[in-house]
Amino acid sequence: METMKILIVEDDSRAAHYLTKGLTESGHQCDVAEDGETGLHMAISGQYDVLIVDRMLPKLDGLALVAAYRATGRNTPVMILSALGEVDDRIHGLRAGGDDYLVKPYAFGELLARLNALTRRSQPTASAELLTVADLEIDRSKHRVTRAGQRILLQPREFRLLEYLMRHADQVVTRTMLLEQVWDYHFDPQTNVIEVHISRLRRKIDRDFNSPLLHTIRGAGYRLGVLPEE
Amino acid sequence: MHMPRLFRTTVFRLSLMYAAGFSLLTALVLGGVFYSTQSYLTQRVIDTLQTDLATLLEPEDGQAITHSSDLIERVQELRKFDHSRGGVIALANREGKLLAGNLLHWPKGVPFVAGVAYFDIHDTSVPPDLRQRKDDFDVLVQVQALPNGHWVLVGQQLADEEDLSEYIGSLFLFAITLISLSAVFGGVFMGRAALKQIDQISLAARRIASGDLTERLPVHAQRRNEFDEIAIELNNTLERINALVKGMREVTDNVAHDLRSPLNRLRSRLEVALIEPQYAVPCKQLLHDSIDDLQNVLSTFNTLLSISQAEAGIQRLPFSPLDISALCSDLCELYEASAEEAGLRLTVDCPTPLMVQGNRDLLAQALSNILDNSIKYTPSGGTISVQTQAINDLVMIQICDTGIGVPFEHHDHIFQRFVRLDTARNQPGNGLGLAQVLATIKAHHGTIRLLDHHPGLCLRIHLPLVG
Repeated sequence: METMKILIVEDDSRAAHYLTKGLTESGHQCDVAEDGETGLHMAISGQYDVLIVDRMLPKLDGLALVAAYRATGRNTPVMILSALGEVDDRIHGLRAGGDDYLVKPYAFGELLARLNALTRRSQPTASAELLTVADLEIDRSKHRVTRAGQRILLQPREFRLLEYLMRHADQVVTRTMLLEQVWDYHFDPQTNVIEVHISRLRRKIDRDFNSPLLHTIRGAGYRLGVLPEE
Repeated sequence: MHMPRLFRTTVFRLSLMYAAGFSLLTALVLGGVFYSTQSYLTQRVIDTLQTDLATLLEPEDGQAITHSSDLIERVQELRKFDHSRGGVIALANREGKLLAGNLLHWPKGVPFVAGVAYFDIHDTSVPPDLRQRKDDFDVLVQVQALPNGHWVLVGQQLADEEDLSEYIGSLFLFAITLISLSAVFGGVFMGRAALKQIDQISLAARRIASGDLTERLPVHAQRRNEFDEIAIELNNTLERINALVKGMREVTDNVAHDLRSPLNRLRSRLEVALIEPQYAVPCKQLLHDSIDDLQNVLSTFNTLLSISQAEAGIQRLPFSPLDISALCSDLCELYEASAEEAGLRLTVDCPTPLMVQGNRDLLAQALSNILDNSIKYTPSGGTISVQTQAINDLVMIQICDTGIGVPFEHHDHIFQRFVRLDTARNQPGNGLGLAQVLATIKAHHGTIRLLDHHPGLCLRIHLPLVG
């Protein structure tokens, strides 16, 4: 996994500390700004791969920071954090120029997975017609899936699920991310509906083949890819 | 300085104002009547006097009376005739010297000017035997100049007329006093009656404020005046407040209860980990379990929060038109896999697009809670059906299963927070699902009803149709 340079704009120093610690452990490099103005200056002057911006900030509000940052023409992905869980907040956050929105309290795994997805999304390879993971291959224009040359038939939604997983190959993808990206829902199902879809997909792409590609990561989500040697 | 309470009441002040107003009005009206009666009476006397004068000066055989002696004769005749009804008559020469009449001399108060004049009965010109009565009254006279320079005067004692006026005047005064007094006493009486009811209400209100929310304001069943109307309204409000407070208390108790077990588990797990000598080995598992428990606690809190947001901030939620049929079909597609896993058939009958004004994520959450429940409580081999249709200006969404159902007596309270029926105890869940459904549907101005499906349960949701 490549190292990301991350700017954290968060006024709660303990939260920022844990965040830095977790992200550093995961192999990333972090800078912290404790208020909106400093955050904006650092974001404009430094070269960051992703920004994490809290909504409620002293001096300059998080959304205003993002809007000002976007006004300078920069397209570095921004993750907005918020303590408010209201429905329209996410919409405001995204409208201000944020790329993703996470409500506190969040699981660290969720944040990490989303950060990975954000930086990957900003890379141009996402639009490729042909996606390949090991011997699994999908052709997006022909809606065709093959593994080891063998054709696999998928329902339209299963195809979209696999497509998303393949675009984020070797990354952890959380259930919430799948629900948002594949089904376009932003709510919290009481039972794990996504799990069932994953196991269906797994049956189709993994069951008749030797090495499993779709893995469940406990407490986090799923990952499509060849299991790293341990 | 303290005014007595009664005088500060609105009823009393209003009655006082009305009393003053009406007394003034009555005084004006009666005064007008009194004045016009008096001038009518005076006018009648003047008319009579003028007739008398005309008779006195009436020409004889077409010849005007020119000789003083003839006129004196006539006056003497008339004097006898007039004497009985209190009439006065006098004829004076150019110098004011009395020539004839029943007066002793020309009255001092009457000027030598043609017209009407008054003089007092006690004037020295009036002989005592001419007076109608001893007391004080006026004499009304009509004076006329004669062609030969003499003056003639006819008059009338006003004893009876003034009596009548005085009588009417005192009658009117009595009426005004009576009206004013009764208005004031009426005000006092009504003010006291109002005060009595207000005292009852404030006594009850004090008891309520001191914490007894079951106390109600007194309502008089037959009377039903405005105080009773207010009391009824306030009682309804209290009823609602009481229900809310009770609900709040139950929720708080339940939150405490439901959060205690996972938090307790978390605590003991961590404590055991500290004691255990080789804690490094099971550490990862333990931390995972702890995080799972915390996740449950957090999602319970989140759900509670979103329920109260739906309940409180109805206006703040962003609503837009959306096709509820498409949403149902879409959600069923999401849940179809779960249903199949549980050995259930999920059928969808949402043929026509039906637009409602709403929030897609909230409605999706609500419908998914219902589908979650149906899948959880329907034994393998059963069927879940989802159906939408338009009925007049409403959209009906019906979700039926062939599960264990809900006994009729629980139909109302399963929508409360944390309520879990005994049959559901062994299933995962926090008892908030249906509370969230109800809050969401209410926020969308809809209704929800439970129906028996023999076997199983039907949930019927009605939402206002748009367009």
